[in-house]
Amino acid sequence: MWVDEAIWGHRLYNEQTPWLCFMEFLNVLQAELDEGRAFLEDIPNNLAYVPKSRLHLRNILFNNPQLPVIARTYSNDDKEAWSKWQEAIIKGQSGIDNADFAYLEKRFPKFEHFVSVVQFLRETTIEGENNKRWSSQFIFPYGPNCLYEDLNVKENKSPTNDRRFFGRTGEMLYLMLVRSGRGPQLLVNFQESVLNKKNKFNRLVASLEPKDSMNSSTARLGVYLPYLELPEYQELAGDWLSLLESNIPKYDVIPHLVNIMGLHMIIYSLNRAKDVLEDDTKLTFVLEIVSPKKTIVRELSSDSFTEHNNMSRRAVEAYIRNVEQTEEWEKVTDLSEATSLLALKYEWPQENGIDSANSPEDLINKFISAAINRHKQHVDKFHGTWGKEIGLASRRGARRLRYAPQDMLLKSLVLCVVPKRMEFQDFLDKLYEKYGFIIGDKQALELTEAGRADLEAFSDNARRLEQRLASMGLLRRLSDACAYVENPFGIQEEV
Amino acid sequence: MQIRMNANGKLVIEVKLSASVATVDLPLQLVRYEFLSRVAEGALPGSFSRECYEDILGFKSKLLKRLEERRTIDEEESENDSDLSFRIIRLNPDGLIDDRIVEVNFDE
Repeated sequence: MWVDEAIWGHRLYNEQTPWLCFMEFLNVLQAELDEGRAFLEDIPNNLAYVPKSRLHLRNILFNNPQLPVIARTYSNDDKEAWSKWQEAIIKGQSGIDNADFAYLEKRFPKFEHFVSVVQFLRETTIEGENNKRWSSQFIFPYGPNCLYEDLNVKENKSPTNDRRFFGRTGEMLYLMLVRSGRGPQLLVNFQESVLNKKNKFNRLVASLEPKDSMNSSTARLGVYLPYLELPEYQELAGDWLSLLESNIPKYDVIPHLVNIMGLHMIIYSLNRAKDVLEDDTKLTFVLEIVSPKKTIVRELSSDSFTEHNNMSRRAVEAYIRNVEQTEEWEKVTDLSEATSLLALKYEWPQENGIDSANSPEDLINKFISAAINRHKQHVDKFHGTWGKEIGLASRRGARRLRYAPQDMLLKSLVLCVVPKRMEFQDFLDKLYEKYGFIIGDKQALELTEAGRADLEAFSDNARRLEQRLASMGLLRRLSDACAYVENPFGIQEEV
Repeated sequence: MQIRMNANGKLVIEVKLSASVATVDLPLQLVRYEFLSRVAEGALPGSFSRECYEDILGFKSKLLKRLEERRTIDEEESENDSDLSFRIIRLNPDGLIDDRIVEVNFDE
């Protein structure tokens, strides 16, 4: 069926974390750059790119359990170590035809240097030690040679892209940035860091692959982003450029890019749901700055979270109910015409799909039910999963999930939003204007006027944020009434 | 690297990476000084707030940035080197630094 995809695109995938979304994006960008098409889109939704598989590199780094044992056993005999290791890896590797690892011996004068390098690179694994299969482990993107796509690699079979962890959210991210129009500026910045093949660490990673390695990946097609223009695209690109063009060292900026991108994707997903629900009020988030005691703000932030968490499901139902308002539906006289209409527009029902419905109305109800079941598998979980991943949502000190930002996200926000120095109340205003964050009493006016909380609760909330930022070295109090948020990497001089 | 008094009469740790780039300064207040002394002795009580730690991380980032500048100006990273060598620094279980050089012969 084509319901989630029509609303959000193909696709938002909860099992693809923000970091892996970023890695997928880099793979797309590098592949397109190789073809001279970076950040270009001639025909909408026609993206076809060829990522790299880099199976030698990945087998060496992540499918190589014998390495430490061999290193210890043959620590005084390099020749024997190399020989035994090559035997082991050729036998244990997967995904490479006619595997040959002899090229490594010439490159590493000592076996122990090879071992050190492998150990060092494994320590840069994205998201640290995790339980994912070896072919879904990624290293830090020092440069283009570190980029490869997620694959399912089984013994004696060709590797396939089963979309287990690269679920296309990164491809959608790529299209969003293309359509923001700020691709060229972004490209210039990326070419100095993650796309720079001359970087020393990138060359180190390149040394682990044979010169003429076969790329077993084929063209990837099929991504779909419904909207050609959206303000969200500009906002995302603008925030990334703020971060990239500030004074943060090139690689240190990446975790912040990931957090801010995650936030924008969440905003995108909620706004699309609001569009379907015909709700044009500003999207807002009540944020609790974690306090030791339970406060009214905590309850409101839980409610805010829950409301947003349910929004996409409501949107799916509304989207289908909208069918009943269309002219074509009004012309439908019987069940079989209804079935044909739905099948044409939404690819549902499939041929043998459902038990028979009694009437067009009944068919719609069955459709909603089927759509919501499908929605619940992935897109429904996107808001909650990504909220936790970027440190926007947490259960800290409570049972319910709510919006309670963690330090890493707060830091990303300061680095992104504050040019060099900004008065604290202005900072709160800016967070509200850009992201809809309600933290202090000024932004909470609507809530306090509706009697849901008093001003003091929110001004306490804001005061806790001041303290948090101060403890992170990001805020300076000049006097009782005057506090400045400071971005240690900001470039804008004071006006 | 030295400890000196800056133009405002405040003590700073000043790091100069080379003649071609400006220094990076870390102003020293009592708390920061105490923090650094404790770290040098190898033990850090939990009563120090995260602010000190974050300050040092910020200082590290500024140093890295300055290093990038120095490398560009002094054209140090001759990126056409066919030799890649790295110093891999680790702490061993005794808390002592284990410093080894790794070399790779790789010419793209």
